[in-house]
Amino acid sequence: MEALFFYLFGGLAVITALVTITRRDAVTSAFWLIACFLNVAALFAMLSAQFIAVMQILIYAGAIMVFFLFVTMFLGEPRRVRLNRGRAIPLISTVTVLLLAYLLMRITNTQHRGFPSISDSYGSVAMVSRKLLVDYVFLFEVTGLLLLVAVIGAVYVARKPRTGVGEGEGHV
Amino acid sequence: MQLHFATVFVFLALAVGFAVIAMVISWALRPKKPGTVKESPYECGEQPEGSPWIRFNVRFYLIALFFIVFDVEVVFLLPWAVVFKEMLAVLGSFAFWEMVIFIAILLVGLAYVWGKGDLAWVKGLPPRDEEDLEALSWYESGRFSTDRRSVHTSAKPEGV
Amino acid sequence: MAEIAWALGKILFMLVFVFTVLVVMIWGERKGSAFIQDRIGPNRASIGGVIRLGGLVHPVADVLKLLFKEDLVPGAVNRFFYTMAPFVVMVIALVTFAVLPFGDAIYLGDKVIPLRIADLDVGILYLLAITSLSVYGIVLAGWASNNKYTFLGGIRSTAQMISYEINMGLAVLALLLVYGSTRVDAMVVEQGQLLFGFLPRWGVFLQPLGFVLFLTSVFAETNRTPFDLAEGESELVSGYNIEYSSMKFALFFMAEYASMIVAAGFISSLYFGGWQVPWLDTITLREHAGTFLGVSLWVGAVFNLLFAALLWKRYRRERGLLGDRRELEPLVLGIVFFILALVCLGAVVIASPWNLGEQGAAHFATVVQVLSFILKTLFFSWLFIWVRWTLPRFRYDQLMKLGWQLMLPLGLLNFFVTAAVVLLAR
Repeated sequence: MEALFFYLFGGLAVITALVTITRRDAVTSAFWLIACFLNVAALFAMLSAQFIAVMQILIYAGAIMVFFLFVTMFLGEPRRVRLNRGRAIPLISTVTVLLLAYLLMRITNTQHRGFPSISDSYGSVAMVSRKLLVDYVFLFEVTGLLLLVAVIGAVYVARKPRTGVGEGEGHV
Repeated sequence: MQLHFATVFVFLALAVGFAVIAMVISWALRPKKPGTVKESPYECGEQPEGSPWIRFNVRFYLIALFFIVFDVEVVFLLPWAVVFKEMLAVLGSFAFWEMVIFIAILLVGLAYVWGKGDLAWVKGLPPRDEEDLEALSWYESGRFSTDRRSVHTSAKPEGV
Repeated sequence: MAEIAWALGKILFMLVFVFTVLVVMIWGERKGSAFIQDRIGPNRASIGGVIRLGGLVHPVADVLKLLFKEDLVPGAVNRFFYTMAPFVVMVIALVTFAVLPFGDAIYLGDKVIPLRIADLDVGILYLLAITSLSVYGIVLAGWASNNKYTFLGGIRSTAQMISYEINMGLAVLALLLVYGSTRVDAMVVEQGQLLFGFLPRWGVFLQPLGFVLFLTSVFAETNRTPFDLAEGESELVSGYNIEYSSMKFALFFMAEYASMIVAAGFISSLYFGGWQVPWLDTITLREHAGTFLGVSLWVGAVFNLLFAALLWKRYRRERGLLGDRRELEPLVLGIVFFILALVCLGAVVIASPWNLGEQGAAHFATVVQVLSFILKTLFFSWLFIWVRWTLPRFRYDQLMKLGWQLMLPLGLLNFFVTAAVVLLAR
């Protein structure tokens, strides 16, 4: 039963990821990427990593993809906006395929030791929180600084297109 | 726990099933007579003009950017809020102060964005011509609330 | 096996509950707006020309009408996403119910069946996650429809929903501090106690500011007036769903109400004690189950008889006024109420409910608590209607100003003060 769901979600994740990178229209790609993220979240949930699963939806599918959509939609008409494939694509895909092959080889060659059994609450919110706030509290605060930099960067970046795009074109 | 996620999945499947059944019933019952007029995009009875995918205001894009940042911040506060009472016993008031520091850093960002005027939707721009000035003075005279600080204009605000 | 059956049963109960409340809510919207605007409202649709139920048949007639309508698909739409959008909206609205406890539990001997669909450790975070997804149905519809109005409606509502999501998250954060648990059922259980000995320990008394923030964000998240800029009839005709017709439109329409019902359910669960009956905890309810049941049956019998008598009087008075079968309605309804009165009386006499036994008392308490949840949810559903027909729509800059420059600092302040109080009260 569990294997069935694993292959279902895993397969869907792979398929949606493939669809994402093969679409020519950026907005369509973004929508498929959301579907991919949801499947990955389901995989996390199956691994008892509930907190990570929810965060996957909340942050990746819910927040970052909204931004992606805004940026791609901002570019205008889908027929005009084409993703530029570029000449590097064959090179990148070759490297990716080689890496994947190497990974598969290593996986098939490794002896299966089985996974250590973990309790259901292992990936729960409280467990993650304790780790984060006691062991990694310094990193927690540094993340706050990182977010601050992100805010300032966002304001700075957004200032640039203002001259190029022309403010008058904005339709509320 | 996985069982409970499975329940959510079953719920999801049933909800999809409900919607699909409704669509199938409707598909079987309804008439199908397409025509060119019916296929034209709705534009209040006028001839559709131009592309529907118009360029929209850059502010929407800014809002999305701020949203990501503040959403991540909320997400980082979540684990803290869940175990706060528990942590108080272990760490004492340090548990409180580590959050205060985090929020303080967050507030600096908020203050920066606020100060730059990027949170205000109606952000003042230098008026370009007479018409702009006129519109601006009208805008400021009523109960419209604009971010007056960044409006570089000689038009005197009359009201609030 | 039995567990799966129970899970399915709970899901079905939830679906039936949502669709029943949905019909009542659509009726309430029309009749309520008519009441507020001093009109009569819908009263024409009928079953067999007799039963009109003051317009309650109209939502059913609407669904039937939409089933038979031609589905107009404009040319040049992105067909796949165009068809997906109503499904996404509907499914997301329904799935949010999964963590909402609609009752305590059914006690069968030593078996306990908690009355919520899924017992997720992430609890309330699930609500936040699903809410963050609800943006996409609207954005899909707006983008795929190949129409300016839908596109603008989609963009507007996305920006609005993401802005208020943060405020909702902050309100929920403060709740987590108060209850120390992510589970909604644990929160509801905590609200069963008393505050200062006389107030129910409801979230609204512990988090008054948080409640206002949550309520406002929920209105914005459901795209409901005063935040319905995504629809904005005067500017965008109907916003993101213009190009939809037939069942696809019906799905949008129903999803809108379904999400309001979810919101009402969460408001009542997080801030108004959910299934808890104020001042009556489960133990008291069980101890006095027989008395409560007997009294309520007697009251039921009396009121049903009263309704029956009033309807009979109305039938006598209005007979011959309309000159068709419509005037039979008071008679038919009167008979129904009379039968109900007889059933209540019969139950009092025959079943002798004064002595329920332990099992019966437990079931009685559960039923009362489920009813309490339903009543609260109905009240907050009505609040959505009430607000819609009372307040005008915001302007877009006001909306953004409220969200980012007032509610965000207030939410942070609320969170900070709550944490400080928890720290000082330890």
